[in-house]
Amino acid sequence: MTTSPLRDQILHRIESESVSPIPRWHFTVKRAAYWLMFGLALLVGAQAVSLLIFHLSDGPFGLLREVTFFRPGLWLRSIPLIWLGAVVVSTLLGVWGLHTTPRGYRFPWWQLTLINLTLSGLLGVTLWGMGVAQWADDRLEATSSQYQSVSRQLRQLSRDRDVQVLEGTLTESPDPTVFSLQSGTGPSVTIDIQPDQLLVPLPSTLRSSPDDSMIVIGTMGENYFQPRLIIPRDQLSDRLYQRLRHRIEGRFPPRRPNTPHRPHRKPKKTLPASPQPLN
Amino acid sequence: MSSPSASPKPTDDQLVAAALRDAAAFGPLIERYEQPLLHFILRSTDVTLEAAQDLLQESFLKIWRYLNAFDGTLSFKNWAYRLTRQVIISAHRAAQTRGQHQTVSVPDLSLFDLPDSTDLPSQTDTTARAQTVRQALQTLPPAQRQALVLHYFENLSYSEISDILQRPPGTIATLLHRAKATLRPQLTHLQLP
Repeated sequence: MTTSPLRDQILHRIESESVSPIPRWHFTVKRAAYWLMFGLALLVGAQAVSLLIFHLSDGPFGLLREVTFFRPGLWLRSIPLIWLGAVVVSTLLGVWGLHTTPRGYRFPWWQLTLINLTLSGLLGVTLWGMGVAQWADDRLEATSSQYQSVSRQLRQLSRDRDVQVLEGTLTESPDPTVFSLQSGTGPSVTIDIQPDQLLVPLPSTLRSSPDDSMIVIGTMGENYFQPRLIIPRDQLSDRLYQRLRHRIEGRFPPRRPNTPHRPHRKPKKTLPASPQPLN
Repeated sequence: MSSPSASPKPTDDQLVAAALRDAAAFGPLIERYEQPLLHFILRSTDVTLEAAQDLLQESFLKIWRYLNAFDGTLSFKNWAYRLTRQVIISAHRAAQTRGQHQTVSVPDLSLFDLPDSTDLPSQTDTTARAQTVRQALQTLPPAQRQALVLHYFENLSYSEISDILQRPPGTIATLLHRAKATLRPQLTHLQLP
């Protein structure tokens, strides 16, 4: 029986070069690493989603609920972009991890992305519901001085007793950063806009539609009102607008005094007396 | 005692298991897939026969090194095609880096004979047709060309090609559709089925 020359050549090379199969554990570890990467990416993505939901829904004004949905510019700018970036990066890593699993290539990229985003979303909502997002946000703020989200700044702003809320139309003055706020028949207020003090960028409608009503939130300085937030009236829901009106008209409900958290305790049950032995 | 001719041929899985115990048992696997893989290399690349044989040898060495990765989820044949394709891609990239480009030698054109070549009036026509098909195939991007070769020359299903090219079956269908659309104007005069 004759054998093919190629067979002899290959077997000779295997023998002469001492080529041996790569051990099985190497492939097992490699596969496990891809699954692990997918799992970790999913967890990071879920945590980022939970933090996004936390910032959107639990902020001082409940931006997700309050700001008009079809004008999402404000709430998009109000979330920490780091978490949005984390969702994107973790999704990419998760998709790659899934794609490299033994049968992952059978799914198109869009399906893998959808699977990843759905799982991250579901897990993220669960984590948010469990309070993990708030815990993580608090921990990050406590450990990192760099971490201060717009949402958190808004929350601090809403707690500041010196903060005032004004409403009216803004008209430009010769100085491009100084505006005049005219509210109804009342006196006009000079607004000194310092872009680096604003929590979110100046709305584009400020100059394009000067007759639009604006909500200006900030503090009164020596000569000028210094805004921290300027929002077009039509970007606010009626509910949020009414809450802000309370402040504008000085009818903001007084705060409740801080009371320590008292966990609900059930009354102690008294154990029934042990039966006495019958004598 | 039964005669050797009556004994059933060992399956690929059995041969792989035997090869992991004894390297000499890898020989039957080489003989079994030597020709299909050589044809695949020649049809999906522009290399000479000698270069194709080198690639084939590299492919079998890779198969040998990765033998423990074969877990039976794919057939050995499809798995071998997949590794061979990876060797082709690596060689192609290396050649691009070096700026080399090897063309196929004339005798290899017979590998592109079409299934109905026996109906053609003369061998000259067969060679001419093969030449035309080969030139047309060279105009295709590598992925389209490999999908076309695997489907029409190796008679593999979309699902099997999906396993070899590691792309979704839907993408394989798209690749084949595009490849045929590209080839149609060039091969219309051949009256291919």
